[in-house]
Amino acid sequence: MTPAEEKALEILSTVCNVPREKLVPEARLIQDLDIDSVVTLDLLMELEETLGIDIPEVKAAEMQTVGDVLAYVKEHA
Amino acid sequence: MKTVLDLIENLGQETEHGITEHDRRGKPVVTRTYAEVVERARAIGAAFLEAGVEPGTPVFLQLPNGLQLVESFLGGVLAGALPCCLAPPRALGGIESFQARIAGLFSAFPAARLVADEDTGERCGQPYMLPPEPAPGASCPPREADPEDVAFLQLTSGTTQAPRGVQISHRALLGNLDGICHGGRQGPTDAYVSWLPLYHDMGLVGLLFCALYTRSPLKLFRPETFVARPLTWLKAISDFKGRRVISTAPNFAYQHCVNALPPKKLEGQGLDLSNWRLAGCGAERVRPETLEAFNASFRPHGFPSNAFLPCYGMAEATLAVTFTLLDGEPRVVDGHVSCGWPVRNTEVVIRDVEGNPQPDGVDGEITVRGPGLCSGYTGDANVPQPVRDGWLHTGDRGHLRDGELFVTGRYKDLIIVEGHNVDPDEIEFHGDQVVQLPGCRSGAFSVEVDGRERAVLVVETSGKEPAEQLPAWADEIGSRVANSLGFKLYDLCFLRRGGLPTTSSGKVQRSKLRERYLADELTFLWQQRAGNETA
Repeated sequence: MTPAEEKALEILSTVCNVPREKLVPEARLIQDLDIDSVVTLDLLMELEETLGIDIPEVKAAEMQTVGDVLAYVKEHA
Repeated sequence: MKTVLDLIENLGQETEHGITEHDRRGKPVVTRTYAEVVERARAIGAAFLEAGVEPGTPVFLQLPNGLQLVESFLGGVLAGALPCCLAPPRALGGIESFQARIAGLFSAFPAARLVADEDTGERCGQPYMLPPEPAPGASCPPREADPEDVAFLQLTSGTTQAPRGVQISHRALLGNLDGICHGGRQGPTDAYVSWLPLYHDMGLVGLLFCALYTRSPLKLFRPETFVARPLTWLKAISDFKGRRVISTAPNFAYQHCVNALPPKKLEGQGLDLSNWRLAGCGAERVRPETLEAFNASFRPHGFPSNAFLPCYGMAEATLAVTFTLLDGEPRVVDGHVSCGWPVRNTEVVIRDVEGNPQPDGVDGEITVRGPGLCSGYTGDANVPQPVRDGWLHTGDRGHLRDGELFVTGRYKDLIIVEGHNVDPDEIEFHGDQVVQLPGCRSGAFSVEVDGRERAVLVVETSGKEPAEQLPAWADEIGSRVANSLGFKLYDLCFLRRGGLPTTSSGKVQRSKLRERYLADELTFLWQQRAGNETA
């Protein structure tokens, strides 16, 4: 796991208020982790600011799971 | 001023004030005066004509809150097209429902044009055009418009269901702007701060067009900036030194500020909200406890409690129906916040089911007459027209006391999540699609949980499914709802076929279903309530 992915997991855990062990790649953010629209946007903003990446609207719309987020971070951070 | 064209012409004279656009992180990126905005809009209008956009063609604008969107919208009006702002794909899983929504738009409006940036356009699965770049010197030829002509569309529904475009005429927009600006005594000495999306009536009419109408400066933000960083909104108001600010939002936004900004997060921010003169609150039920909590949190930072202006309105009335009085504290009677009095030249009558006007204090359907009424729906032939015999039938429940409106509930089956309207059909559709058993139907409605509106779905099944089937269906339905609508169902319940209350014609009676649900009168085969999974 890259340092950026590590950092992303940490952000996911803090912003979504979910313990690290629940952040398995296949966990769906809205359905399984029950994050609402406020947390969703907070999460995206934290990822962008902390990792210095840009997540276009369409890319954000394509992400569904923890694994999707990590894959994007791995490729772009 | 009789048409939006006159408004734009007038706006083009404004060489001092204009719009400042902010990026997603809330940083100002560019400011243009209204004269520059109009010049660019004229060039964009010319580009639309050159691209073969015919008069009366819907032009759907899928662009973020910013100058390009404003200029494209005005350019569309100048070219005689019908501009209409679209909501973006929803973050975390919204791509498929976005594509379905765009496909639905094209099937309802086959001649429509879609304007999007390349990233989004490439993923929408339909033909699109890039936002036209204004060519130097290009200008849309002047044209005449009748005040009754439709000037633009506001969408009220939009997932997999047939989209419904509310047709707003030049007369309706100008009539409603006159009502709003008279009620709020809005004029050129004001300033506006808005993060509301322009695909929302309050963002488009209540803030953008009010700023354009009065030629006042506007700071335009993106909705996601506010949601993720609510302090940005308050700072923007505080930083508008020397001007008195108008900024409006749905109830949830005020509550979000209270929840997300405890006193220690405000320390050392230098927040001074004393210049906030009009804090409109509408688009969903105004809750007395929210107003109180917001006052308690922000009065120490200068927020004038008489700035709160609860109001009532909807896209079918262009926007505003009633406004409370300026400089008064919000009035609460029997737990209901007063939404005030009809805006200028507008009447409200409460009616019973037969259409008879009701006396003071008696609940009935809120009906409205006035210059802001829309010209009707377009796009979905199956929906009854909202204006009948000159009166807009709102589907909302309320009563009048000495002319003052109190909204108490809803007759129409509508679920409002964070200021956005969701048709129960949009939820039931997923129940029906997943279960697909003959004679089995679904019913969705809303309940209030901890001061928030949340959705419940009840789905009928045969009652003979193997034990593992129901949780599997629940998972699939929940996932589809989350992906298309962006929220988790509060409760998902299965009921034996025939258990849903229906009308004599076989339609699910959602209000009765909701009553029985709340009274605990339904026997479920299986139920999955958020945060508490039971079998």
